[in-house]
Amino acid sequence: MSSEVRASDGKTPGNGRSRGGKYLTFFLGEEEYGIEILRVNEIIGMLPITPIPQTDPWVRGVINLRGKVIPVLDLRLKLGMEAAEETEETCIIVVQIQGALIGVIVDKVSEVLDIDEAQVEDPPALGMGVETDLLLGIGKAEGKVKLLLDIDRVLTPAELELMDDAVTDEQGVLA
Amino acid sequence: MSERLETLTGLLGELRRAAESWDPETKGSSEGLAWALEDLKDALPPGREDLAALVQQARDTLGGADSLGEEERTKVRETLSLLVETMEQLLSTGEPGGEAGDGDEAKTGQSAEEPAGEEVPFVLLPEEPDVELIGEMVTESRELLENAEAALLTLETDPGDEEAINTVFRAFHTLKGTSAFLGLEAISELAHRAETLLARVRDKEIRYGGPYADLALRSVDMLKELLDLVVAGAAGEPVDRPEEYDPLMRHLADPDRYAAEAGEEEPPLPHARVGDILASEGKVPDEVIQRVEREKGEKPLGEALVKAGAARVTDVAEALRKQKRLDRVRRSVDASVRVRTDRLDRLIEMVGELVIAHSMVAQDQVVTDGAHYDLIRKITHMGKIVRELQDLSMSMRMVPLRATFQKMNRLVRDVAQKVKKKVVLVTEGEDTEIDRNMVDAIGDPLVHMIRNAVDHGLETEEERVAAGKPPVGTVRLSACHSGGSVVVAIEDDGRGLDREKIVQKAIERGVIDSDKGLSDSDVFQLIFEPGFSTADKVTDVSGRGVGLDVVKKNIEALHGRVDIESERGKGTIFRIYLPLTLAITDGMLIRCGSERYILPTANIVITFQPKEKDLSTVAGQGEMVLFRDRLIPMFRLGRLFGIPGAVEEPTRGLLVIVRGGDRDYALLVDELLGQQQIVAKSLGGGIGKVPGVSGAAILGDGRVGLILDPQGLGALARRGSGAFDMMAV
Repeated sequence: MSSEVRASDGKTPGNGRSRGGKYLTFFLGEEEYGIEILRVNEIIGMLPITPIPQTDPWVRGVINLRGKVIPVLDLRLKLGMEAAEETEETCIIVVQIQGALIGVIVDKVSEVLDIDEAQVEDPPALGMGVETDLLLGIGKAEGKVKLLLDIDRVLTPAELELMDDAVTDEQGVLA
Repeated sequence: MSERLETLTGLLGELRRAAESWDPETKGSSEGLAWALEDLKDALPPGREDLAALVQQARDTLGGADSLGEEERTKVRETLSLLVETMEQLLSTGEPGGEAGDGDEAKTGQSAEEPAGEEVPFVLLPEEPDVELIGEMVTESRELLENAEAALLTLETDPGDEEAINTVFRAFHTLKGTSAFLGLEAISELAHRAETLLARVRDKEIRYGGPYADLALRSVDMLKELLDLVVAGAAGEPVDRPEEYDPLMRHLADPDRYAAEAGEEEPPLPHARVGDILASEGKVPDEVIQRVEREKGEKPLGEALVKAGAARVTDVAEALRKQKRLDRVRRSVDASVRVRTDRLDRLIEMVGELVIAHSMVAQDQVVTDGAHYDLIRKITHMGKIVRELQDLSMSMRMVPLRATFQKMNRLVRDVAQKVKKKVVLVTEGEDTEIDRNMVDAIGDPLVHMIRNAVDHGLETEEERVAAGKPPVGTVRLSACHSGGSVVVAIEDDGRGLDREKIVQKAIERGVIDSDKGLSDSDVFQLIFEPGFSTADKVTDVSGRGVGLDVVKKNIEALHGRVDIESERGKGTIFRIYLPLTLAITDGMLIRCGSERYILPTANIVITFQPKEKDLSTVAGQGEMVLFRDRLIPMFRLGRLFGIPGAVEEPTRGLLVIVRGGDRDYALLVDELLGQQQIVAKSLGGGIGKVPGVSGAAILGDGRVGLILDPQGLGALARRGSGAFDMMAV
């Protein structure tokens, strides 16, 4: 595996950009996923989460990150998987989306890997559902398959939806 | 140099006398003249060969003057007198050190670099601008200009105020220097001319007022614009030469001509007269003021009013003080230091974390066990220090509204002039502080509403007099803290809102079907609909109906709201409520199930445990409780938020009567955990707005507690149960 690192530019959406680079890999169940390391702020262990009413089930709530209040999402639920029991290895990956910090709960964090552009393939059109839209591609390293997430896609469109709903609610309320 | 000048002048005088009395027939006359010429030539400064040659020529002509015919002698006389005149003119234009130009072009004292009318080359930025230095200079200069502007407004009513004059002069002077240093020629040229104008005011050569005032204000405006352009240009954006620049430069080069051409202008609008202040406060009825004004003669109005028994001395004194406050610029005597905002924010953040860390220590089991008295004392002591630190850091975030209010002075003056009305702006509570981040955001809404008030709200002078109102309209801008919010009010004593007109317009636009069941304040809220304007004419100041809906959106973006109160013929009051989000607020910690929430104490009326007999239901859905002879709707927090483990029996829980907007309700919770000071934070970027929740706070044990929004919560609850629309509570 080449140690060439190409910085991915988080700006152009979709498959237009180079997909090689360093990825933080983690497990959701048996499947291994990856997020571009440049988008990761930090990794923390589980913290007490304060649930927020009237939100989608994948919005677990908010946590206190050294004085800052940030929302935390359950990535399993977000990707349409079933929720899992919390274990000692469950972690929160804090990512940066459009200037805001958001925490993402994963089962187990793996390692930081260099994945060459050549090792990344487009996700097969298997009709796997919404999930394939959220992938940058599928990377192969050390004989294993890592599902590379397009973190902007994973979190943003739903957020916008959520915010729109909440805003309309609010306006309805204020009328 | 001036000694030489004196000598030369003296010699010239002698030459003139000699030339006038020259008579070749008289013995010694020619000699005397020759000597005078010789002396003059010797006294000429080096480098003036031209003059020396002239004098020599004259002397030579004299040589054989005795034998000259009459015609020749006349010629000599003419030459001499021309020489004397030329030299006198030269000497009066300044230092005869070789710099004075030809006699034809000599001008009076002031050095004018270019003759008025020539195009000034416009050099905004040097070839390689030093972006950082420029950034600092721009910040400093903007501050100077703000001070200058306020000082200029003071000069409107007190043209002799020396301190104000100096403030303005210094601003232009400093700007000239720093911009020249950085190669920003366009700015330094303008500043230079403006400085010259102010110098003349300072030296009492001209009196500040009318056209000179306009030039000064225009200069300030243009300099502000140029500073903006410099910032854009330094960032690489293309910039255009402002249209106003050349005409302004020309006018500044010859302000007297500008003043003459400007003609008879209306005197600057009265800033605030004592009579107007007293009338607008209702202390003295208007007719009385008018009468006393007519009869008072030379006495100042205040004095006359007191003498006539129409006003109390204390009222007049207060009005005078208000007038002084309105007019005077608050010169910062407080020493201050410039700090980068990101550093300040980081400091405040760290202090916040310190507070939390401290409370985690204070709540640790070792401490709370109570066995270590010494330790507890020390931690308590530390707690006091930490709390004070927190107060201090919070206060650094807050800025008084004064600066924003002062900007409005200028706005009112300009708009009033444009629409030809006489308006006075009275401000109150400028010391009220709001979070720094909100100051900018609130500026635009205020501008809009004040424009509206002056343009539409206030009637013309004739209309006002006909209606028995004082001819000068009053706009009152006030701010205060009230019930956990900052309230900024804009009040005018104009014509008030026309309910029928608004209803009509709203029906026309399909916003409502009819005005049945709508209270006055509901109808007034309709003017915030986009595109709404009941103005008959669209002026370029306002009336396009674009402003108010944007205003409301801006205010709501700050989690605030706007209220309108109005009375036909009397006036209108706009009230903007803004939350003190980043200040510390008092909150009541409540428990519901295993979750904890915070309810702002300002919204809590009372808490009590209900008795079975006081509970009832409506239509099988809505629940109510009887409290002190009032039927109040009851909402269950546990059900609203889906909290597991919340108490079901109201008699086993606690009812908190909450004031949510204009309607009260009773909220069922499990337990009250105590009052706490909290720092409200927003919910974080990814979530958007959650109904019923206004933010979050970090509790003593480090966990996050959601802050309830009383109004939103009530609305959320009501949406669930339609039963309550039937009742007016």
